[in-house]
Amino acid sequence: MNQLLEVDNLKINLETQSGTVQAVRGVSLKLAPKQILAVVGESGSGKSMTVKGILKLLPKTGGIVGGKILFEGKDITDYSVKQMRSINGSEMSMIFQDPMTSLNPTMTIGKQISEVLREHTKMNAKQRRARAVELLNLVGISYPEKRYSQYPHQLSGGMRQRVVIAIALACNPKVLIADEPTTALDVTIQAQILDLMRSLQEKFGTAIILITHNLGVVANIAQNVSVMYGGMIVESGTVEEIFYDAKHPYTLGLLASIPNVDEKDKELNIIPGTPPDLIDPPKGCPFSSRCPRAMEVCHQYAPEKTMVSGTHWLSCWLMDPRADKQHGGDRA
Amino acid sequence: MQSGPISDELFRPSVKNKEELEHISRPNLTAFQDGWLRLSKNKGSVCSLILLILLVILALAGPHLTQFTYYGTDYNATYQAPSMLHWFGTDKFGRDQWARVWYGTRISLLIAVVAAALDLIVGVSYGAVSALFGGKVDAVMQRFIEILVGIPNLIFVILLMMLMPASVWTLILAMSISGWVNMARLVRAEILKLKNQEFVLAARVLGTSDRDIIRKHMIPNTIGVIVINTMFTIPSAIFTEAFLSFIGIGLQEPKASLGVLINSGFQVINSHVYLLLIPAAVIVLIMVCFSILGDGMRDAFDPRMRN
Amino acid sequence: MSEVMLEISHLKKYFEVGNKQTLKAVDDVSFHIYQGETLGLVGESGCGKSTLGRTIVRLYRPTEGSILYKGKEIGVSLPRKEEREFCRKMQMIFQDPYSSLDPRMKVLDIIAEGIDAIENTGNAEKRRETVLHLLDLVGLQEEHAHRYPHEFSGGQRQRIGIARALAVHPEFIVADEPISALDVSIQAQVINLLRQLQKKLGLTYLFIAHDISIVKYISDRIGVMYLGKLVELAPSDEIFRNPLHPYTKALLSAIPRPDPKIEKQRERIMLEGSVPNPVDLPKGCRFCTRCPLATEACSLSEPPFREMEPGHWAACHRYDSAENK
Repeated sequence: MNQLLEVDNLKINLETQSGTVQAVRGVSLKLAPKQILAVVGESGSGKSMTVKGILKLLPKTGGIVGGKILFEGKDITDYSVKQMRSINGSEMSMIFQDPMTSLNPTMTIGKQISEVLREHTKMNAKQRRARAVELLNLVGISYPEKRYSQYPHQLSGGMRQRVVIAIALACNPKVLIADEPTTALDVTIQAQILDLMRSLQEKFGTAIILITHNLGVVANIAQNVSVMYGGMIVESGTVEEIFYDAKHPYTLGLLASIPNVDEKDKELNIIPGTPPDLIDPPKGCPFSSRCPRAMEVCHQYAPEKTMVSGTHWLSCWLMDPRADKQHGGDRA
Repeated sequence: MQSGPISDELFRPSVKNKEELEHISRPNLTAFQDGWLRLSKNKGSVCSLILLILLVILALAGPHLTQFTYYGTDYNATYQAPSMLHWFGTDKFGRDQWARVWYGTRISLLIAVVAAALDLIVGVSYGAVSALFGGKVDAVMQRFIEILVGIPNLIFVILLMMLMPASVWTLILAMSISGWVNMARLVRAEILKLKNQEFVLAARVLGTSDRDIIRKHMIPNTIGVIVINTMFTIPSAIFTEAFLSFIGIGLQEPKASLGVLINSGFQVINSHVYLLLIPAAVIVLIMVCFSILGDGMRDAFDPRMRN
Repeated sequence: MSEVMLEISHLKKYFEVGNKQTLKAVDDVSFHIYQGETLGLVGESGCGKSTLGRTIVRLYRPTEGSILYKGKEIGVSLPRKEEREFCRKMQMIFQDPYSSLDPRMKVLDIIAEGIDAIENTGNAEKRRETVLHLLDLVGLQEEHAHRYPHEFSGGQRQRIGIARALAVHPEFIVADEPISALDVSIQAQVINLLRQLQKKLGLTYLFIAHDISIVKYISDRIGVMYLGKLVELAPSDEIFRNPLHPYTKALLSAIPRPDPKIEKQRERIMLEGSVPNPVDLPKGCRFCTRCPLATEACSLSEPPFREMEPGHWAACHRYDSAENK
């Protein structure tokens, strides 16, 4: 398949007072046009850093130290922030977690949308205004003409996130990257925003990378899922493959630790311990210290990628034929 | 799948050590050690600290290193340029400038440190009381501060200087009349913020008395801002003293402070520029060092900078 | 069911927010909490659930109404001694694992805070032993006692907060969104710990959260709040099987299930708009501006909170006629 965005073995380091954090340690992603890809992981798993690396939005203390990023076949790995400007906003855009801080409180909503249009298109003021109103309408904001001249603080959290989406969509980007877009919102508002994102994807064919820790959201909207842990992708596949046929112990643990509203009184599965410290990452598999089925080899050698199907792969020593022998076929 | 040189032996379940799961690998550092470690990595701050210590030693010992006193006049040796005998030269009465500069530094530092200490005591208690009592007490105390800030500082100082004999203590008093306001505001803001922190709420639910909450939570968590603000108060007090002495309402001859020295040096700027340059250089050095050190300390001890 | 531990009747907590406006954070709420149960409290941000929890543990003084703890009124100011003895039976676990522990104190001193508050016996060895026992109870180790909070992960910090609350042998614990700031796998650790402790120590919980699926998992009964009002209260199975209030229905329908097949087939009840400004409340039923089933009656008068079925309370005009029959 022709890929829209391809990330190959991306590595990102962050300098901190306590040492160098290897935030992303070899992540590979593929995003086809019109696809919705969810990247799932806990805080500190490197999921946000990966997309910030793609968009060159890393903090000053961070940098890409390896790997390749291809956008429509173009290598954009070494693009400067200035070069990225031609892509950010128009070809790829991003929605952040907190709608409160991603809007400028001193600028009207309409102005903020038309600023983006001014930057990336040749529209005149009148066209920009018309387009801004159209966008507000599109993201389901009532009375767009009136809202156009309002300030962010006059809107509720859900409305603000809609405005953020409108800004991101202003130039019909091919890729929309959403970093925990619903985490700061209430459940009923979250449902509205997810609905909106899905309908926009259907209408405009925008490919979406959704970063989230909420597996319910993933099941709701995603087509493909990559599960990150300790700066690496441990398992990746279609949404059905991940939810019904997960093989990696971490994915399984994650799925089992969500309370299921339809079942009662089942003890929640626990993944004991805490995620690894990426200043001094484990030599072998990042999950080995918490894994219920860890073997000696897991602590010492990083597992290779194993393909389960054309779309489903994982990195786990349990997939090695020798692991089967040892466990005597106790595979679940 | 690639097999590699990995032996089959390794494919056996590993033994789990429960302790290890919750193990914290980073070294056990207190907040203070952590801050100190980071301060010591900041070259500017370390240089400033060393220079300041040197200046303090010179201010204490300097006048005794020469045979001359800061007040002893010698009319046969007026306006001598720096030499082996008079290291920083002499002034119009033939007084040794080396002794006078370090004596002046000592006085300036004394004034600054005592004024900063007064600011600290008054400001912290005022701010803490205002924030802790809240309500009407807070409103009245804040209005009082606003009135105080509304009156130009210089008017206070000049009035006081006219009423009282010009001495080091008058200067300190004059500077402290409204100098504590900044500290009070800062401490009040900090405590108001702390009051709503969940750990303070937790302490209240646990039945911790108000006195203990102040002692165990409020003070340790505001000490950082207090120390850092003091670091910025000292240079500004030195400057105020110099300014007052320079416009002639500060200390009187033969007493010396950096301001007095700069004032008399300024009068002969065309002929004997060293009389101005040396005390000016010292005052600049002190102020810059305190500022850089204060900045460094703010960065190093701010808990938000920790990860 | 067993005996009533906490009886809250017509509780109101208003805040003055300047311009002579009043924020009715909790407005005329009544319910019981039974000994040994877990009552879950859900609602969206700003619905007053946290204020309610804080009022119960006496961080706020109620504007009106009463809170009876084992038959004793505690919503008023009490003599210092009584307050100490009595109110320490109620403890609180906080939401933010980062601001709920004093960054300048060692874990040992944080957990011992409740012990220090009553007995200044100065018996350091006994104090230390108690703390180590508590650390063990929440699954942490001895070596952690001398570390500072910033060295711990979110889940570990939350467990320290739990140990601190347990130090004074509470009977009743208000858990104010104890897991919403944590990662999924860590949430399960804390939830399981809370359940184990409940069994072991016979605790009663008021569990506040915005995620109704987690609340269902831990609670015996669930109360749903909307804009300062309790709109529905029922056993947790009952509320999932037969929600009466339209808001509860919408809330249940909005939870994304971690199952792609269910998600693809599900019909959602989409709520229009967002929560009104709590300072400027709508007339009548507070939900009428967003309610898909609202009628004219809803914007005229507030529906009473009534027992629709045994043990199942709700406040909605739709059931008025049923009452009359």
